Amino acid sequence: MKNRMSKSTGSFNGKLIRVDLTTQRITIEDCSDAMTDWLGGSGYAAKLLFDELPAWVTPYDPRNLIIISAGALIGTPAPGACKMSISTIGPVTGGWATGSSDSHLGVELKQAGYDFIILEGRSTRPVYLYINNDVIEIRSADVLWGLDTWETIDKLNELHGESLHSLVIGPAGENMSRGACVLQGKYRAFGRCGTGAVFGSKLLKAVVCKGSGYVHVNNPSAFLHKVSECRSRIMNSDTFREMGRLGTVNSYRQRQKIGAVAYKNFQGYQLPDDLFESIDPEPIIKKYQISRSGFPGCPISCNRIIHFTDGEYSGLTSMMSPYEIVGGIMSKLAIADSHYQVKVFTECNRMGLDVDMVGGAIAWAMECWQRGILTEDDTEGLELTWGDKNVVSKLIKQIAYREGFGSILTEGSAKAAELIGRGSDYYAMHIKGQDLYEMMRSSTGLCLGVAVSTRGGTHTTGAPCIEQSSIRVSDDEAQRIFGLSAYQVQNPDTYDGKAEMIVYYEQLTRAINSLGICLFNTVWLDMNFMNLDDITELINQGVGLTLTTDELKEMTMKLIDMEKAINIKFAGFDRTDDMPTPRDITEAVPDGPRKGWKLDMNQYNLMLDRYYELHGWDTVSGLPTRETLIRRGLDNVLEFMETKFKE
Amino acid sequence: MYGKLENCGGCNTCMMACSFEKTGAFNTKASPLEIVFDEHEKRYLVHFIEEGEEYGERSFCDGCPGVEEPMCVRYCREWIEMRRLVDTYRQILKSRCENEE
Repeated sequence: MKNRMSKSTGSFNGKLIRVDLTTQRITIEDCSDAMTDWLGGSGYAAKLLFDELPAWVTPYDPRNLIIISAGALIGTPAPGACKMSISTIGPVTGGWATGSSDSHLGVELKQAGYDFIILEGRSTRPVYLYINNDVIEIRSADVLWGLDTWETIDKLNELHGESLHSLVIGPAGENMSRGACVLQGKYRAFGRCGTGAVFGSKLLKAVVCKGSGYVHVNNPSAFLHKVSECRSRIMNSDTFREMGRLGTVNSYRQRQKIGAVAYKNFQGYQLPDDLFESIDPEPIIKKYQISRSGFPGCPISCNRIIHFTDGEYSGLTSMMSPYEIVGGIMSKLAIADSHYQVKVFTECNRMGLDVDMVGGAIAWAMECWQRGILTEDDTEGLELTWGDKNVVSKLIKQIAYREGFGSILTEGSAKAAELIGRGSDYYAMHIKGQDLYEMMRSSTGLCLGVAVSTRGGTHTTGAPCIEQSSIRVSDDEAQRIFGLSAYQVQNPDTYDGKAEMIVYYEQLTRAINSLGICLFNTVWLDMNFMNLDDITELINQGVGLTLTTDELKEMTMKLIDMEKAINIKFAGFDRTDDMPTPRDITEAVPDGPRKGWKLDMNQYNLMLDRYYELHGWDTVSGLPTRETLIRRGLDNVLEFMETKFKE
Repeated sequence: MYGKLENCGGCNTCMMACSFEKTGAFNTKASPLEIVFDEHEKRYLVHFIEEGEEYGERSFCDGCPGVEEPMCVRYCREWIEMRRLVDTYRQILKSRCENEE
């Protein structure tokens, strides 16, 4: 190994580790252009995936890359600078796949002197990657293969004689379930997109990292001044107090009030009162919380550790389930047992399974059962009755091990519906193959943001949550941040201004995903939290760039173009893939205060046109135009597209 | 000295800040205080490393004499409690000094 990088730029190291699992070769490469041209992190990952992979590469092909990145602000106390990302060509959509997770390992990687780990090729035996500063080794994982994630972490710590930060997969990843995710520690996951399955396809079980070097910032006093100012704004808010009190489940009551809790695979938008009370997570936190759990730099600390001292799960210590469990599994499957939310979260984590895929696939199956589309002949005798938690737990195991009916569900609802047929695809709630827990009829902005997400249906790549929030946005705030009125920003029914808001949030998410900052510390959650002006200043003072906010925005637009290019190259997506699900187009909101409201597809299409125009994309195909690609310096994408569409 | 910090989530931001105070750069392994998880009590504790306990890059915590509010306090979400712990630690150091004199 030779280090060709001699000088670092602020908090960005400019070094990547490349590991070829086929040849066992490890190299250190200079990547100093990654920050200045691509903002580092997932932005640079998109560039590498497009540039390095031929169009014939599929997710499980050894040529596929896994790119683990620790953004430029990780290792500093910038608010929420704890999100690592893993990017690849993913098995859920077949295109751009990226997931981020709270992480201590990111700090270790930065302290070891690196920003990225790129894994390519395929090992012939199970292995894990060990990094201890400049000692980088591919080690046998024979004793780890077959273990669940918690067992793997315990075994790694035992092997090394110390508690290490690690990324691991469980049985779901080993068996290449499309819903497999990578876990960071025992509780946090790089969710969605099936990144864990790509680990499994390479026989890569884990990555562990220790680093003891220093992370510098370019202008310490200006950087820390900005960090303190942002922290102070965050910590002096009601949102901070509510997130601190209950974490993401604090939105449960508000969502029920406005009719945005999924019931029985989105057949309902509001829960029956008794079920609502039976799921309520607040009493669990009040009774069983034993400690908070936070990640580097984050003042919010939205996680908490639960220890059951009584009841069916007495003795279980785990992390409190996030809202995705409440809204994506508990309410969607109508499970009337609040304790089970911690149990099912634990089961998914131990198997290394994405909770959204689990909820989506099982909800699809239960609705198909309800409608007689699936019978015992399909399920090998399992009765898929709403609310049956024992069946859910059984299916989770089957999904992870590809056993029984789980071997169908492990493909996710979209592909499972293709396999089953019989009109079941109408009940598969997904965008680009990615299972949804997002409620697309709950508001127009959310609907657009989820539908156009380059990684497939998701609320964290541009979709807003502010339309459903109990926080009232003032006209001044809406104007200052989005250039819109408060009505345009928060009214869930209007289509006006939503494209502009989505583009702002897309720019924000690309910037923070590249830098390693958590969305919860930004104006995504509260208008007083960090906006793109704040992020620009943190980059400049931390890394040493001299960007304006407009320049940062333009860079993020280039990143989104590149994600789009990856989808064109590997998945063939176009405008037709940016549409809501058939059910969301066909059915009105079934209940709650907005009962009867229905998506107006003329209005939706106009909103989508406006969104494409803002990006500089063709409104017919939904693809970047020649002019846009030239303006953003993406000549290689242009070349690819001209060749592809000439054929 | 080990101190209980109610509501500590082990984010380690105090360690980053502390290392900066001592070295001018961030390194959680060079902080004279460390956050440790007490498996028995199932909660995080703050460990102020005392003279004679130094290891690796970690020197001992001198309580930041002359600093009104140390960075470990300023960057802790539970800063009031952290302040109390730091004051206690400073008091211990002061008593020791007085005894030695």
